[in-house]
Amino acid sequence: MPLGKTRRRLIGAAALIPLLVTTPVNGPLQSASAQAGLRPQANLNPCPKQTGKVNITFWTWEGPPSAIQHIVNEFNATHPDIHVNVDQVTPGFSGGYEKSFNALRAGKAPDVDMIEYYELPNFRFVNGLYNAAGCPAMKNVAKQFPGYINSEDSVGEPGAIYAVPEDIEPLAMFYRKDIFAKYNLPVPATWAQYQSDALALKTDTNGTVKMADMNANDYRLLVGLDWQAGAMPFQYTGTGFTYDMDSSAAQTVANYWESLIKDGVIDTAAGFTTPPEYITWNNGTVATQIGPDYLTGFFKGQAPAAAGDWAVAPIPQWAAGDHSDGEAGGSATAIMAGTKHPYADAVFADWFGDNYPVQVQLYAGQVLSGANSYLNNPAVIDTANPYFGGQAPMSVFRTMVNDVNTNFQWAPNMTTVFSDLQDNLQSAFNGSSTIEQAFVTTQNQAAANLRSLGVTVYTK
Amino acid sequence: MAVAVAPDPARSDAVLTKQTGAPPRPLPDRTGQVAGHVASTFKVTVLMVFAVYFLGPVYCLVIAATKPTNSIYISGALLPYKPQFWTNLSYIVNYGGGIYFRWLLNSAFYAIGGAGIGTLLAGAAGYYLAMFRFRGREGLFLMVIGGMLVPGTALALPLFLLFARLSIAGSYWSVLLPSIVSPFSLFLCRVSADAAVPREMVEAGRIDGASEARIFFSIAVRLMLPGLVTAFLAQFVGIWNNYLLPLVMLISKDTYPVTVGLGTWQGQTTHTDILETLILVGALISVVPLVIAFLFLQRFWRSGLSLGGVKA
Amino acid sequence: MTTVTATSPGTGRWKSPVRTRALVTRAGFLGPFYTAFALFFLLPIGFAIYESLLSQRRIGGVFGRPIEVFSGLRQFGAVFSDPQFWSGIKTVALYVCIQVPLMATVGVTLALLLDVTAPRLARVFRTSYFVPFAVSTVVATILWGTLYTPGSSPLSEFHINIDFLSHNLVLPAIVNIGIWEWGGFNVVLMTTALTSIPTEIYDSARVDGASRWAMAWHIKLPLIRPTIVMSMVLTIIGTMQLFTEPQIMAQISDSIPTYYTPNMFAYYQISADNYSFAAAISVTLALVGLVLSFTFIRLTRRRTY
Repeated sequence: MPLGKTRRRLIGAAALIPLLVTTPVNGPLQSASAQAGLRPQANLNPCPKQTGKVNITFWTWEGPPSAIQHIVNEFNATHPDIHVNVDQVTPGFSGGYEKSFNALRAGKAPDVDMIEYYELPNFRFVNGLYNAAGCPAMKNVAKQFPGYINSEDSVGEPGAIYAVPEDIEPLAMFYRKDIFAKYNLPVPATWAQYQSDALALKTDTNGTVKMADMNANDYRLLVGLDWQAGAMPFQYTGTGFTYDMDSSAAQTVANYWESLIKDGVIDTAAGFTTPPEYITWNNGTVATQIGPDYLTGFFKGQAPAAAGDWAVAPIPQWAAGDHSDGEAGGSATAIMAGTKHPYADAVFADWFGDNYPVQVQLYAGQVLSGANSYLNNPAVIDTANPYFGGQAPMSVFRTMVNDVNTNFQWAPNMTTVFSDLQDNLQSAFNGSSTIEQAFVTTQNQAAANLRSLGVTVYTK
Repeated sequence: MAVAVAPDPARSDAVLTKQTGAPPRPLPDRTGQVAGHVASTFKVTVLMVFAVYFLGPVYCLVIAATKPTNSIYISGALLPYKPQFWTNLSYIVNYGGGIYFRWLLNSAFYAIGGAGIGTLLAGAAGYYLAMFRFRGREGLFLMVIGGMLVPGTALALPLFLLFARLSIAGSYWSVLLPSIVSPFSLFLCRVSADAAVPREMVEAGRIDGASEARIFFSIAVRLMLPGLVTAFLAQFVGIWNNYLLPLVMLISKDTYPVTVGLGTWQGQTTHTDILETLILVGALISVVPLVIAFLFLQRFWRSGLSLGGVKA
Repeated sequence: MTTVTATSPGTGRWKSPVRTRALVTRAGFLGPFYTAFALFFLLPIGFAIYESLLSQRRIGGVFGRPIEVFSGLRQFGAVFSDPQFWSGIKTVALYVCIQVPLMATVGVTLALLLDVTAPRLARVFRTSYFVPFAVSTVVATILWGTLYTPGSSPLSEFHINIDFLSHNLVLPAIVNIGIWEWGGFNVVLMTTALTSIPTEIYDSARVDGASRWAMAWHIKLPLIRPTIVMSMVLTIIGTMQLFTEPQIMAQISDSIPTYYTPNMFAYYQISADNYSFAAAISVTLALVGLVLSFTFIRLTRRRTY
């Protein structure tokens, strides 16, 4: 029922709408890097040296917070003209990336943000990253890290630098050497051996000790396992994009773990870094954990009762003698679009990539830095870790780095892909669906999402 | 159920007790009835069970908030275990530079500011709608009431996009201003004005030459007070509780209300252990302001609740 | 009441001061509220409608420049053909159908029991029932989340291990949080209604030999019916907005996908850069809300005020 007053109000509101239409619609900033898709670019972004003291904000969820603050304090002390304000945020995969996207939208993004490698394309997709290749601090960054990480940080744009690598996270197998010894099980070098070990363990312990924890929270691990098997679920093809999440390699992985679940050797109540998982680590109800190197810190902090019982071995292979691996995670320090201090950001990002893992080692176990200087330094890599009974876990991970398939690519909408995959895996793990079906459904949803964002999408 | 027995004033409880040996008879209730023994026990049992249901978790919260962090999940929920409440309290005071108390202040700002201004606006509009008849009155009213069922995302998300375009997303205003509008408050205020403000008084004021505004502020507000306080409290609780709007709108931790702050901590517990304890202590502390608000304003809102209810 | 009449002598071009003053008064009383309403209620909905009619296109490959083009009802088509959307609708519909009658039953039953209890004792009970109302939804969810987790759950002390966060039990678990939070409020609401029943009604009923049970059923319930209806309307309003509890529970439960409720679904679409799609969901939800709201007002209008 139109009323005088109401109608006038609605018309008044409608009059504002043309105003909104004329403000730019395309993402937070129409930066030069937005045209990057048209041609590979040289250093289009200016990087003026700052004048005077500069304050920059840094969002991270790296922990523990006290260690990070200590590291940042050291940077601030040694760089008197740059002051970094560090903010502990929700981990990206727990909602932190959504916050960053919203912040970009609102024009209130930080200068420097911690973004995992797989998520960088999504940020570039929304024009959320600043190409800092023109900054002096970035001149030697490319040489400092393995080649494939550099291409991850240029997000497929030769010569661009959107982020500086921090750590590198290849997969390996953590295992309870005491349990393996007790039941005379060989440490598996192949997945076939892994499965027979699991079944033997089930018989020997009457099912009380499971081979691994896995549930819907392990969606990144599963993609990493696909990576190891040689799958390429995400491919940039010409001006379009292809999803291939149900390739034969992916099916092999999916069916393998599906059969392990059916065999009853997987604890599906415990998933990626949740309290139920820590309990299984602590009290010996799980015999292995496939995971990346940052888990070493988690073991030390969350499973103190099992100190000395865990060891690290290379990840099992599909064929004996193979050397193939994938990654699960790993982050970079990215420079965000809209930043007013790219020069200082670059200096900090570069410094942080070099210094962070060394410092963190002192506080929280170990993380494998991506820097070549670190990777090729035996004194650092071969440091014994008392939690792992004197073994040097990083040396195992170091060899795994060489095995990682280097041409893996990530989709420009990984936030949606992973969110959908996690949702769909819930059905797989509660028995109403399968892991393979979860990947197929995810592929269809991801393709529909990317198409609606204007990209030409193919599915295999 | 027991057969109703009308109380006989001639027979005192003492006499009855001596005679039957049964426990003293319960007092008669509002209907003038007295319950039989079995029915009474049954009733009290049911009431007690629900009291345990409603209060039990709060007790568990208190217990959990006093525990050291690494024993929260391994020491049971019903008994204290190595209580260290003051230590935990000092953790929350110091963590993040006292960010929790900043959150409490923010919540108070949003809730008091939003509900205060909102009640004033709704009070004036509701009073006018009740007292003055004009063409389109019901339409205006229904337009707002119809908004009560519009879900939060339908407003919060577009508001965020809108404010982002205008570059005010993430500011205190971006949460405070939208919180002012409360359809339910308009409803309550109109009903309250209808019920509590006699037309004769308003007419008398007019005859005396007072302006409408003067009549409203000096006469009507006083009469509408229970309704106004109820509206204020309802809106206060709603804003204090609000999670979606500030979650979407706010960027910097300094601007968070307690709800978003605790929710953020909850998402960070895998990486930072101490937060488990801080969340519990913070949850406990956040209950206090609302309890105080309700206790202090009890006199008003108890009568305010009868509005919009029975017209016996 | 004031009836506004235009008393304009002569040609009618001159507005009488009475009429002007009346309009100024109306603007003064209604203006602030309705301006705020227009700005922070109607405007966002209008903006959402505008945004929902757009789609994104890219120029120059995957990382090319995005532009917005008008696409009519395409986004709505996408919403209505999305199984995740319907899954969320089903979940909320189920939630509403369980929560609303349950809440009313708890509120009415406890209020009736309290009505036949000595007033002092009744007040003690009622206050204890009301305490959870002072606990915010976020805190209530965190609290019950702790109680639902084995290890910190009181049930585990008696070695009862029920996984309340599993696929089948997570919705009842969320329902329980709602009952706990607002049950006491409903009790107080019903009690207020009950105490406004004049006791003389009971006298005549007692004389006729009515039992307390009969009194409750034939006198009290019918008389507080408007309040029960209002309580149910309030509960429906609250339950349709379901967002906070599942959003927080999702951090500890594996059975809550990101599209569990329509509100959650829309929220995640925003961060997936799907603004237009999220806007279409919001507009759809707003329309559903408006339709339901008007239906209820039609049905209950005579009774509430």
